[in-house]
Amino acid sequence: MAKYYVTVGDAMTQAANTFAAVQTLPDGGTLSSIKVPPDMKKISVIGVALTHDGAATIDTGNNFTVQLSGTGLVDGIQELNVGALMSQETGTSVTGDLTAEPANYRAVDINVKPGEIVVSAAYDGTDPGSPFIGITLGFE
Amino acid sequence: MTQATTTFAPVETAADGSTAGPIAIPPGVSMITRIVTSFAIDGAQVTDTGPIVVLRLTGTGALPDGNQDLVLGSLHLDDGGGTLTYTANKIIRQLVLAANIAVKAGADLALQAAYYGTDAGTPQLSVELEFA
Repeated sequence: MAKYYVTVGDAMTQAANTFAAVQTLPDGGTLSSIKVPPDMKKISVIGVALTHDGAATIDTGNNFTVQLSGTGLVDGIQELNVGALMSQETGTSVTGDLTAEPANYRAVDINVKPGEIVVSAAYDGTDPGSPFIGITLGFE
Repeated sequence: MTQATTTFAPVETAADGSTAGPIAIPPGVSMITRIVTSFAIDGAQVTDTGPIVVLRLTGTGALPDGNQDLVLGSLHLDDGGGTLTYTANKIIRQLVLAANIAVKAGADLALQAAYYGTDAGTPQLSVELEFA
């Protein structure tokens, strides 16, 4: 169970299979890297919420990967599968679709040390528009 | 949540409709051990929007480790490029998150929330905190 939580998010406007920084704070500020909080030894949980913030490109499916890098990682770069989005349609705009999903919190065991952590994300498959990702790192 | 995107606003209405304001951390507790939340758009959601909601725990002297920001989940309403008539219903399960967040008994803990993405309407957010 983590005791210190930091959250960043961003629209993922990059092409498929390309990591881009996720560095917008929930209050709109920019956090280009996360300074490992004092006395924290590991990241023990990662929470992720995914969505399409707009009309999803139909007939697309994408897996999402979060990458952690920077001087604050004891064991180097880490890449984690954090889920997928999918949009399917038969015909032309035959219906609407409503989706609501709690964030997915996943236990991890990533050793950290004093330094910086850069959060990036990528997706595979066909560009679905601009998927949006919110990421929480839980330190302890 | 009537505020603009990436803007925190207080979450301070009690379940009975009263204005609770900041939460007085109960005596004898030292941790938030569980956070349970759910949210939904209370009204017509703007089509082709997908907000991601974030909870902030804050309050002077309440949190020895400082403010905590946690992502809670996402919504999406998609009607593509068409002009459609439809009804969509969703039963939304809550997020149940074990935590270990240090708190100081007697201090005032404030809850705030924000969202990423396009303004989708008015999300209604509920938060339960378990102290121990």
